[in-house]
Amino acid sequence: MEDIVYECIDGFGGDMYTVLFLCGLFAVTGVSIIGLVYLPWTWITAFIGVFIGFFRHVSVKLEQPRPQTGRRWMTIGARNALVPDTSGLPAVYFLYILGSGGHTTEMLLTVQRKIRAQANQHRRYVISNGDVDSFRRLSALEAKIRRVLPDGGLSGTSDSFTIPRARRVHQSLLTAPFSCLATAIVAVNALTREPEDRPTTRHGRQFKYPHVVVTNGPATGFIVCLVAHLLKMFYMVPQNRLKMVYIESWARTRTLSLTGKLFLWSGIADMFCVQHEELARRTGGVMVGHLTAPLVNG
Amino acid sequence: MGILANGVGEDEGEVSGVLADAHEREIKRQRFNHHQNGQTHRNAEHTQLRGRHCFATVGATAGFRALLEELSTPGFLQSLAAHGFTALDVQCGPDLEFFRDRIVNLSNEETHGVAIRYFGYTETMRAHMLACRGELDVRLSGCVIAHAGTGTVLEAQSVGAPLIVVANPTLMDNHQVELAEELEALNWAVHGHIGNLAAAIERILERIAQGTLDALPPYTPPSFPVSAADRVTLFDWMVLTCYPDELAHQQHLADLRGEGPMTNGDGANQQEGEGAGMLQLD
Repeated sequence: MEDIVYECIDGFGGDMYTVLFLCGLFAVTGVSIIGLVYLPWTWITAFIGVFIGFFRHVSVKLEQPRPQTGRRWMTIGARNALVPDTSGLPAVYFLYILGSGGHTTEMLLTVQRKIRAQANQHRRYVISNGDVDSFRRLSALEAKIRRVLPDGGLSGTSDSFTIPRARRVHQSLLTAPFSCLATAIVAVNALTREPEDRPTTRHGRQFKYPHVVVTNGPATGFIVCLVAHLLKMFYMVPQNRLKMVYIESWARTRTLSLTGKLFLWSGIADMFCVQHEELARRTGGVMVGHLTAPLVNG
Repeated sequence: MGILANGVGEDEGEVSGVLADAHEREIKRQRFNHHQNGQTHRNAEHTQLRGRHCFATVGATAGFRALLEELSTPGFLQSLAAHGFTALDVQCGPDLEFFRDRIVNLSNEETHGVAIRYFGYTETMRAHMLACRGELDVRLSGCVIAHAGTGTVLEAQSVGAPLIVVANPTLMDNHQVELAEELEALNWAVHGHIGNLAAAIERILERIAQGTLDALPPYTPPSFPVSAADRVTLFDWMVLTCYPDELAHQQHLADLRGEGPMTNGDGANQQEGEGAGMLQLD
């Protein structure tokens, strides 16, 4: 527990976004509770508040690309000539959320299949607290990227961010909300603190917020995306950042994982992808094929 | 130690126990090779092949006692030995002590000459799996026995080692069974069951006998960065949604190059022979 507290305090650094976020949250909750008990007119205010919140939720969702479009983009074969070129953009900033064990393996394989040489990219990885194994594998991949991609900064920059776990394997569902809150607090910072290698003095605010947040199933991923959605709802980040891609774990062939259900029901992911035909049929997700299956002797 | 130590092993800092003494293994191996020569009339150089290697892993996150228990039964070890396996490496996860106690209590007859090594965690998973991959004139194909977790399965798949998956029923809503059944249906792995793992070994050996798993070409890691045809482009498109003008421009270009918006069918047909990169358009 203590290290979680320390981590949260450490997370307050930088822009104080976390403090703002928390103060706002507490203020709203406190005022509503007092108000609802003592003042009759607060019911109207609360109603309006909920209405505005819902309106913002829907309007953020309306910006999402449609599943059909996603299917069209999910073409790996270059012979279809649908290859987007992002090397001319001022910044390309991805945030990958690593879970543990299999989630990490899948995510790193996906990153490995996505990577291309371009100087304007930044990759941030969010790692669960104490997940040494993921960190080791991540370092190996980053070292490989730096070794293989041609010099002159074409491998871009990268950094990693440690975050308390939302739910440990076998952790009781009763204590989960508290660890989730700790995760959310640090998540605000992971989403808003600019990379050290891309300071605002040199790049302006281009690298301030990630463009795309990719997650594939750890509970931490949902918390981070929920925070991202809230930040967008309350205009704390620009509307054209933090696009969320959820890829259901390759292990789920017929039913969704708990995180998958949360993403499907809340609809906060801009792109909801699954990796098996049957699951795609059942959920209406974008079928991306065996995305994480490694290429043998490719 | 000569037979088994090459391949994996020396670099393995955490190997905490090597049982079954080397002499006995040597005898066992000679007997096995002799037996095989008699059966298949292979030429002399094949006698240099190392025996089959089995690597069992419970994954990095949660423990899997039922599997460890099964692995350490004399019955299972006997079936390993009967099929020409000479070595069993086990990654035990959090139950290292538990497994050690069981192995120490086994007598030499009960291990049937199979060299058992065990450790909690390993950083060289790939090396262990490569030791189970058959290679022409180097080693016979062994097998990997694993919990049906994504990481392990994908790793084994990328190496090309024959795989037995055993679902760990103690995890959240027993989700591993789903994957195990799917893998069996895709013919990527054999679905093994606790209590009857020997049957799975038999099925793997049938597969090895039918195919060319004993004589694969040397392992070459996949190329990196991947070729343009295999690259995942979805995330790049998502970045473009942050810049609507650029997105419209690129989509227009893509449509021109692809001669109009893509239709169903073409994409799928062109994916032939891409192996794992099978992505289809709906």
